[in-house]
Amino acid sequence: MAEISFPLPDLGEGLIEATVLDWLVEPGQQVERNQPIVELETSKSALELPSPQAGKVVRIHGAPGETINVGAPLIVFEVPDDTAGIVGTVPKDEAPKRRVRLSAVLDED
Amino acid sequence: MSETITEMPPVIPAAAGIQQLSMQQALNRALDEVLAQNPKTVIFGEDCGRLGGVFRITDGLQAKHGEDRVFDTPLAESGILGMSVGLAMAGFHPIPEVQFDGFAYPAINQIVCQIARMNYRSRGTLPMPITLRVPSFGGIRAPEHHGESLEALFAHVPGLKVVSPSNPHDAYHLLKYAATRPDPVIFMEPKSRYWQKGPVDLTPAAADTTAPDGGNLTGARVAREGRHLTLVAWGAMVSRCLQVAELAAEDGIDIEVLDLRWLKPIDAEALARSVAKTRRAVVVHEAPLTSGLGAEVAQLITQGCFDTLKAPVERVTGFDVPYPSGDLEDEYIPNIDRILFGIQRVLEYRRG
Repeated sequence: MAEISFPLPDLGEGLIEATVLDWLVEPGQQVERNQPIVELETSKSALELPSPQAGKVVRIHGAPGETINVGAPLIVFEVPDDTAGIVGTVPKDEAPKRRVRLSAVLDED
Repeated sequence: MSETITEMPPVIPAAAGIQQLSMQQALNRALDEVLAQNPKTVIFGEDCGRLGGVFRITDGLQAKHGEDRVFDTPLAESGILGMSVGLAMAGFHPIPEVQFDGFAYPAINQIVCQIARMNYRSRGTLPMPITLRVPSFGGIRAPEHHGESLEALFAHVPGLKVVSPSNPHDAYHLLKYAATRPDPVIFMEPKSRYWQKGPVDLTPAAADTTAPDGGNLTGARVAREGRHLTLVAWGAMVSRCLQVAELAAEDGIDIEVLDLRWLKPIDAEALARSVAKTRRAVVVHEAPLTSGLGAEVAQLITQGCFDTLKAPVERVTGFDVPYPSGDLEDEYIPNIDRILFGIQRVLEYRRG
């Protein structure tokens, strides 16, 4: 298993930090991509941040009321080692299927 | 870019024997050992350092060997390969990575005009000990530029050697071998085979090219013995040809599978040896048909076995179109049935 850390992104308009209002997930929980994971407040607005990926939550950073800088660790996921890179999918090893059959008279001359 | 932290693979004691490893793990271990053995080796590329590579091949190497030896580069392949030239001139052994094969195109000038011919141009005073790792071929349903089949292009360039492993064991030994050569080697890793595990004999190879464990590291390898027909393949197509051989056996056709491994230089003797026995050959590759490496293989077989061939060498390949992305891949990459059809055409052929 590999751990993937997700840092706090720029939430818009070049803001440099955000305050945690409430965590919607906890360590050990399995989350899906786009599932809301945390409520954050910036000097402009309050918002729910969707999960960037599926995985098991390993750690969360920042208790409610604490401020996190953009680029600092926000949440750490655990994902299987065979999760593909940035693009593509891991091919599945499936039993070969065939439609063509061979027929031959093999003269062993 | 997200940050990935993964536990280091355990250090392997000498004579660790046989382990089940994925090709990713086998390549990672090979690079780890090469870094430990030769202080002049350096590894770099996009996301190779802190992230450990998008395919995890350089995972943990920066933490273990330091940021001076394993590091990230900007998104500029011409720079990655240009820097490799300079490092090689300065006495280093660079092991650069282009993240996906399609990203090699912006560095063709550096690869063809500098890396391949600097040794020649300098009358041997500036050898280019560069091992270029290229995650290659299709099979992972990636978008454009993330699946290509560039072996014919590289093999055509004088001064380059080209190799592609088909299983974790060969990946481990061929990478360690390639990374100790004095000349540039293009190391084409079949992406779609990165995750499958296989037995790897980790016993350190002897100083020469013939390791008792790794076997002969320079030529082709018979992946399966057979009597009636030789399937020639490399990279990801080897495992598919082994599946086809199993199916053909159900029909009473005994197929030999030759894993070519080295695409430059090609092991012409192994081709001749195999086809002299089977008298029929089909070559399978993912690249487009026209001017593909299958033509070279077919000619070498014809030259070596013209008197005994029962049929012209058949080619089962990709089509003469840009490498398709995503779901269309299955229509492009030679599948089981297309290979079986190719075999049937050869079996049916009658002279005169």
